[in-house]
Amino acid sequence: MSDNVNFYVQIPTTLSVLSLSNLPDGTGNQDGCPSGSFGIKISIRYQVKDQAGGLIQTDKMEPQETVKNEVLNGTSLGDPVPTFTDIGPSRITGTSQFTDSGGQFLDAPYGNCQPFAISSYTFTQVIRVLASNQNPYVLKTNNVTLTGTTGGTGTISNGGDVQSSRP
Amino acid sequence: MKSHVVILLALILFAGIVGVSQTTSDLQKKYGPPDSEGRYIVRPGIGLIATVDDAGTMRDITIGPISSNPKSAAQPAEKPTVMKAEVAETILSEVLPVSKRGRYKGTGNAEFGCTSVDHMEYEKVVISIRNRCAEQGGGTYSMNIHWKG
Repeated sequence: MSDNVNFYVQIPTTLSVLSLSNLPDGTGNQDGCPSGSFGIKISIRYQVKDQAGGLIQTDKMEPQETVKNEVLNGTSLGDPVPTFTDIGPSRITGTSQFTDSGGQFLDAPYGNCQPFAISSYTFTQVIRVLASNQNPYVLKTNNVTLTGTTGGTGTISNGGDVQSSRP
Repeated sequence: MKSHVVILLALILFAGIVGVSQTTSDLQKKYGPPDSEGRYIVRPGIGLIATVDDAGTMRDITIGPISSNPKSAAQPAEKPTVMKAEVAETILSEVLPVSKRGRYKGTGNAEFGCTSVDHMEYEKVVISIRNRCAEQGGGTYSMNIHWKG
């Protein structure tokens, strides 16, 4: 007879996009871009998954991000979020410091609005979670391109699971 | 008399040209010599880093709180520090008054969760102000002045 017991330890490994929506036009607290402006702001709901693709259903993970290499219309503007910083809570309802009990979280607002045309706006976002033991796990890198060539319109893409356009 | 007027006009023109460009000696006059890390201390706990090109022309100025821990020693849970928004605004006007920025073109805004960046575009510079949202305590993480061209 053996006393050995095998435990399955879930390691935060990837993020999957559950849903994505445009924030409405306007200047209110829950809005995205002002009417007529160039660009787009969105809201992304993520699910944290383990090394086998299973859901990690705990509200003890703290999503954080860095955002670097910001370039607007050919002008390099540096690193908007150079060190890991909590994604939530933000001004958008539903965002929070920690994941919900299902291991999901909302990343919002997310994007850029300008008073002039955006031929190209690019940045690199790295998302990680801090587990309850404070160990950090990097889950996703988004290399994002955003455009807004005419007033009231915009597109955003990471070349994969984050894609949206306005209107 | 005529030659005096010409000299006076030349001096005014020269003063105007010097006035529009920020230099490291301007910064030294205002804030004293840089510290051992190359930062000008603009307020207690707030540093300014200036980047000049090979010709000595100012390209970028970044202003922000001086971290109590160097990056390599920072713990994963450590939160970045901020300046009070009104202090940041005062420093920005001090370092580069509105009159030296050229024509104002407009302000855009990028947001990444709780971090927002106001991009204020002027004829000569782009000023980026990184702010923390009110939901996490507010304040300004840093400001960057980028000279165009």
